[in-house]
Amino acid sequence: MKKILTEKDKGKNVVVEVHMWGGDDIKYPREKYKCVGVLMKDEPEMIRVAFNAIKNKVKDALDIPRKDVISIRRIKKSEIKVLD
Amino acid sequence: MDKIFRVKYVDAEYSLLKKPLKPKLTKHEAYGYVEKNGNNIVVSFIKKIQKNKKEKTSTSEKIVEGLVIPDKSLISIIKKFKTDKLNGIKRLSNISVTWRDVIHIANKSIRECSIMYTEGVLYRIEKDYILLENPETIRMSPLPIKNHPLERTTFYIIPKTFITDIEVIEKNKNEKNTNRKRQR
Repeated sequence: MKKILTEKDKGKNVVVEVHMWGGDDIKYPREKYKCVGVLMKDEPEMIRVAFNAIKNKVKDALDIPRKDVISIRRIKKSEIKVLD
Repeated sequence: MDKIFRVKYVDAEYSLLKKPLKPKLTKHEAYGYVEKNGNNIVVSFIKKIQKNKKEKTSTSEKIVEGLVIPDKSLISIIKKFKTDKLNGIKRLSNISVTWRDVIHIANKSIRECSIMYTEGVLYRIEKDYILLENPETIRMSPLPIKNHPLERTTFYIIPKTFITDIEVIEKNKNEKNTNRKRQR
């Protein structure tokens, strides 16, 4: 799968939506899930998506094995609604 | 298609140390799919993809992972908020505070904030929060009722917008309230 994070992105928050397989059975997950967050790691074996942060320190994140990733979509700034 | 949100909010904080917490509410940020439930904001980090596109998420469906935050925890609301709930309450009074707290959800169908009850000494009143010294906090809802945290805290910061009720504890009332403390 093509990498989403590039050298150019260093220091910037890259927001992604990931569609993935998941479920109770770790070996044969059969439910489709989606999540959204900041892409922290983009490695050959896994990706890490962070969901929230306190003073820029990540609190909750998810490591997703590459084999469970169905798709990764980079989210444009214009697609993100800000609720503050 | 579910809209993607970036939510900026504040949360209560506690300390186990002897010195007071930093005199400021800490800014939090979360990404997710948002739904409103009364005066609660549900931020789902992870969502099950419905097989049928027309199928809507049921309110009884479990949240895979996410947060439920009070709608008044949003930073823009904190900045403008004014309350008269603290009028006439002097510094260093023993007080009880009922308040709504942010809750982290994993595989539960909870869509409401926690209800907390704290007793302590009103150490400081700031524009957007109160600081309690030697507080004891009980989570009243969701059940089971339990201390939060389990350790004894030295200070607790509660954003003013989270407060639903505040009372000065008189001595005899204080004795009565000790029955509610340290439930595990």
